[in-house]
Amino acid sequence: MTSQSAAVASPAYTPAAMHAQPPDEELMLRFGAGDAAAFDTLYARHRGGVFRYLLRQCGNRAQAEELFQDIWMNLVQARTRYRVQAKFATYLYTLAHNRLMDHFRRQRAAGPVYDQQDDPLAEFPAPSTAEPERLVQSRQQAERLLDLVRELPPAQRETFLLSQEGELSLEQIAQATGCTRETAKSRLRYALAKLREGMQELL
Amino acid sequence: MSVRDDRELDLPPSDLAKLERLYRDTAREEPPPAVDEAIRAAARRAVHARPSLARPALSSSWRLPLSIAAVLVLSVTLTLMLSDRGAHLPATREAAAPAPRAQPPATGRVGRPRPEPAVTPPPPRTPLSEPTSAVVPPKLAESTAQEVEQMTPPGAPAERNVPPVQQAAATAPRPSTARTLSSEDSAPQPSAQAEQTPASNLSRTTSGREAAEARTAAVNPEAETNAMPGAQVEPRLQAESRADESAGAPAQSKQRGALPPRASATAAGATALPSASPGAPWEASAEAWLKHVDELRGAGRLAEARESFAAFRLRYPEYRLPAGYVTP
Repeated sequence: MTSQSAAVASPAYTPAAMHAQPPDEELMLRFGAGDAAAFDTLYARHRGGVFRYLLRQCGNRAQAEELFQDIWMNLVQARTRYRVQAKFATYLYTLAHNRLMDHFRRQRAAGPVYDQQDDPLAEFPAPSTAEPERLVQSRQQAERLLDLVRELPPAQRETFLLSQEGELSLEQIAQATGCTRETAKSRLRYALAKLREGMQELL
Repeated sequence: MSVRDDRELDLPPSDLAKLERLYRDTAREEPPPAVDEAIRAAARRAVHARPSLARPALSSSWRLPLSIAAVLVLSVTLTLMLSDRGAHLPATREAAAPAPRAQPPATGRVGRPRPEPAVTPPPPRTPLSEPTSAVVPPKLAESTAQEVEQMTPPGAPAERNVPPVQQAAATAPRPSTARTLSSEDSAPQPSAQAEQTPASNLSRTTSGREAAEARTAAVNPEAETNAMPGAQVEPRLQAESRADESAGAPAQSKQRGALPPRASATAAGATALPSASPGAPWEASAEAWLKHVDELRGAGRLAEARESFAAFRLRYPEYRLPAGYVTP
């Protein structure tokens, strides 16, 4: 059994276990008080979303992994200073947003640099013998959607990702990215409109 | 997304739901298990490191003796430095130690009447003719003379740097010995002790001061060389460029094996806080800290600026940098 499959099979990673757990904010407070198991649960809930947010934004898997580690390590360092002032996901994605902005500033890059060798659909299920046409169509749709997401302007893409990966509301997106709610709404509306337009034939 | 948010987006709910479902079915990337394990291990270490830090460790038994030893070393060093400096700057010592002024005049002048003190105005200050060693305690003057003798090339006349005026002043009697305390504190004044100081001592003291200045000039360039930041910045930049190169090559990152690239560094960072001292004044607020980083960067201390900024991020991870701020 590989470590990945072991991680997936771990109780902390299963949806049932997640729903049985207390809310994120309580877990973070418990972690700050010294409960390492609380961190495991918290991490299992948000690892995928944060990673995909970073991956889509910086476009490079190696850089995304590095930023991902930095963000979680910042969270570990700041655990004793954590106070419940907002939803935990807002707090976490604020850390991610800030770290990403630092990364862009350091690179002096106007936008993300995409790694052409990195296949975003590598983990997408391969077509099987059953219903091959439908799966091929799904893969085409997925490829098209990811291309469209990649082509979005960075601010719109970030808003879309925060709404999808972090499941943040417009207020929370505005809080995490440091803009007004109206700005966040406008960005998300434009992003969705572009995605819908690009997916018109496939939807 | 709340229902209210969905309504405000001006998008048919069915299309929105399809887009969301399609995206969630598509986006399945996850961090590698090695990264997962490294982060969770670092979190466990950080949690378990707290009690051990609070508990008095073996190092605490060394704390007191080490502190005492450090204080002793510092005291001795300071004392030696001050005495050495006092030997080369006798005018400074004069204000601090006025006792030797009360010594009687030299042989052959005992019976000469002395003018009334504090009545005669102080004579005009002539730095060249002022016997700076006149008020130095005898031991200090001797040690200074010995030092200068060691620094002076053999065979060189001791009086070669003394102008004729000073030599005359050393041999001729001075008209006034009156000095007030305030005038002594402000600047060295000629005194009766100058009369009893041999001319050779005067010249040695003068050349000793020059030697001290020469030594200072010789030391300063070295200090400036040590303060150059390039020596520290260069390796870090090279290391970062190497890191960037490795980050740009996914194949390399896959070859890193079970331990992710930053796992060890970040794990170490979990227990060891950055180098900034906990009580530094700029840590009081995020703005002050950023200003401090800017100052470091402005001073060319790029490596320190980066370290300070990294520490700033750890302390204030939520702080939003001002627009246009460029990280060091």
